[in-house]
Amino acid sequence: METNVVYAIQRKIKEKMKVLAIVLGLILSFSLPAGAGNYSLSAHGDAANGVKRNVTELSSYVQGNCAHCHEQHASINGAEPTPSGGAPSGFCLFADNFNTTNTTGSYLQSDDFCFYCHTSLNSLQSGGITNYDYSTTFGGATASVTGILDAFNQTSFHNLYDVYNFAKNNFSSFFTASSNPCVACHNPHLARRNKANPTDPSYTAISRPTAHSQLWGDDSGERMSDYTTNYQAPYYYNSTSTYEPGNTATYNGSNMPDYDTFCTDCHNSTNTIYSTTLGRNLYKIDWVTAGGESGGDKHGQNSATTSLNIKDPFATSPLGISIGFVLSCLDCHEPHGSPNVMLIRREVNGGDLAGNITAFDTVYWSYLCGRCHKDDSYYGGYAGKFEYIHHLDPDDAPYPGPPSRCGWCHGGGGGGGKPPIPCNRCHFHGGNDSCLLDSSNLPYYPSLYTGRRCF
Amino acid sequence: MCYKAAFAIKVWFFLIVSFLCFFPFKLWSQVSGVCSNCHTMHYSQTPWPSEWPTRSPSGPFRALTVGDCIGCHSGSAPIKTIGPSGEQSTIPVVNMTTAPLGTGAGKSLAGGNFYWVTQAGGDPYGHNVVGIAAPDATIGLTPPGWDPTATASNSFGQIAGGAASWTSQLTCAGTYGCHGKHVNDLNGDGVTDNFEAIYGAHHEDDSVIDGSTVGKSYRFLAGILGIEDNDWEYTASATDHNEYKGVNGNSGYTDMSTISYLCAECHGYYHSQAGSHPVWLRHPTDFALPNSGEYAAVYGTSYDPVVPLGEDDLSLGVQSTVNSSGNIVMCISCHRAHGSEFFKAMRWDYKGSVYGDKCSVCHTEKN
Repeated sequence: METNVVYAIQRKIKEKMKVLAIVLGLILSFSLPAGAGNYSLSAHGDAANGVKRNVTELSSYVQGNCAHCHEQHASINGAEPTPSGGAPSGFCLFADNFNTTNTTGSYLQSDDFCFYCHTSLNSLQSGGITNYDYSTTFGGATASVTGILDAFNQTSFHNLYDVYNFAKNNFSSFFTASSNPCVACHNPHLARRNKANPTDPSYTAISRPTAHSQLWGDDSGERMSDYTTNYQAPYYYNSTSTYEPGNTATYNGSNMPDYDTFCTDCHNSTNTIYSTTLGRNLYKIDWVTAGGESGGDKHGQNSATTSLNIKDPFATSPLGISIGFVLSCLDCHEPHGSPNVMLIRREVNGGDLAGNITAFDTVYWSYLCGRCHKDDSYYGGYAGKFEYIHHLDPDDAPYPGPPSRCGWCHGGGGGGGKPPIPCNRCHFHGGNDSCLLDSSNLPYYPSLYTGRRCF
Repeated sequence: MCYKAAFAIKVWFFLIVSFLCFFPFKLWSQVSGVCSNCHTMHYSQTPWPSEWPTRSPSGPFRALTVGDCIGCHSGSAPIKTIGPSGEQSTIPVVNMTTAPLGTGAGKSLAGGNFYWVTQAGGDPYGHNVVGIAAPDATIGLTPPGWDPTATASNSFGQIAGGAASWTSQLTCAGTYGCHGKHVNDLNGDGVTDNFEAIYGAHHEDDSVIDGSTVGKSYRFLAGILGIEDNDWEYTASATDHNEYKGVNGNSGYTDMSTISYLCAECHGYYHSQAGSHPVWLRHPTDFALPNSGEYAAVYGTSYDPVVPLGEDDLSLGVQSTVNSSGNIVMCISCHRAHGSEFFKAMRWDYKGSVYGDKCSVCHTEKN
């Protein structure tokens, strides 16, 4: 009898505690932060296109499920599905995250976890994944590489070991010695399928290294048009009326992430970044300082001081400006790799480069420069040469005349004109014409030195 | 005088209520009820009471019980009550003979149910215990992750005798079982069976769970600590649930009282880190949910019995919120020990969900 009374009291107390718990639960549930569904919205968590490792052990796991990348027990159903590397891997991944011994490329599929799926050959993703380069995906160029691994295994690439090292040392809040270098720019649980929605930056695939826990470009204020009002999108491939990205009439970058802010999280005027590939530190990039000849890069927020000999769409830009354009890094560079040196795109401003640029010190930089800057063919001269801009333009030629003693800069020979000077002698990030002061190489002509910003 | 008496009554009432609030609720693991609810002097007894387990060809049983573990703990409802009014015994049913409504409150008990592993293709849905299901056709007899060196120093004996691989199927208790002692070979046949493993435990005073004996261990899991919910979480809420023992960073399982240690006895370590790169190689257990990053959002939320977190200080009692003490990730944070309606005895439909369903309770930014 007493026992029953005790139970009755207990039961009543429990009932009241349940009511209290429900009330508390309601209060707490409404105080939780919103924003559910980030992974489900991501490319990897996409129910129709997300991760789906093509192994028998995971055949019944839905597309997008965690297990396609993460094995909670370093096995599935008591066995290790392909690839079976034996030992368990960090972050419970099905393979090791990154091979830090490969410091210079080229890369094998096993060098980087992401390559197990993001490759054109032997992808573990059911049905494979096609990833074109930026030139095709956003620029519309004829397809070249079809996988990320393939993109990295070209003439130049974003050296993953260098990315890894730099991120480890500079973004330790999320990047550790066990991290994957791809994660420096992509949050795999957030990155979306921009490739399928190239004109909608809410589908961005990138996260700033300084803000890894959120996407970059998806929100207002994170577009190229927010970075600058002077962004003129280049033409879409083979078009003279539509623009990147995605072949639309939008020309001001409002339909693309602000790549400049994104890239300058690392590539700015203060960070020292060593390139194992180049064997030197990368040039620092001042993309923000105005001031003309005393400012930063003129392709950035600095500006040409007088005039430009520029092609469309810049020459007739709907922005209503003739100088002062601010470029996106990806107008010229591929993010992963390219058939040209320095990750230069193979297609720029609506057309293919005339050929690959396979050396750093070469006149063939004209393939790139000439996609936007008018060469001599526009002024009665030869295509691929820029005598007019440098010597004959009455508005802004820096070395007018032309000066005498051509050979001091151009050397001998040349046939139909003096041989051109490799563009890179003066035109590089942060560059000016100080090479004129260097007697060890052409051009050497100290009296012509102007100190003007050449990039 | 009347005023004083009334005051005294109020004080006593307050003290009694306080006592009831903080004292672990009556634990039904110490059996109550008349002896004949569970024992018979003659296994040939006729008529055979219908509330007893069906008479088994393998009977009679030791201790004159009317059934073995499975016999008594099987039934058509999650909890069964037997015996005459006022002398009843309440038995948790872990092996339902009809389809449970599912797992979770009001459906089945905290450990889930073996029902699903008994069904066709049921191997991945629970533990394949002798008498309930045949050995797992894929995994075989040796548990995945089995490491005979991992938990060799258990004072209740090492499971499977520390053999390199298993030659016998999993049992409820004993040498090859989860419950009771692993070594208590009373009849000298070389194996500790179910009866030997939990010998006497049902009648022990288990008002204090200190792990000193099988009866004083959480759910007869020898040496394991915890606070036992009085109805095995048939009713469950943030304030009404088992409290499991966990230890943050139980490296090498130096603390052998945690529920995750119990799992490790068969499945090896699941919390180890790589030496040079401190990242998880397997999903961690016996490790505190960090109060940072995406996990910080979990702190202060109501305890979710579907996704339980362990407690490293059981003196604090049943926790109603996730806090700095009740924050230990355990094997059973994700799995039901006996079985569930979900693949791999998960507590939720992990493989059927893009983001792993309840994984996002902890991984709050990965839903």
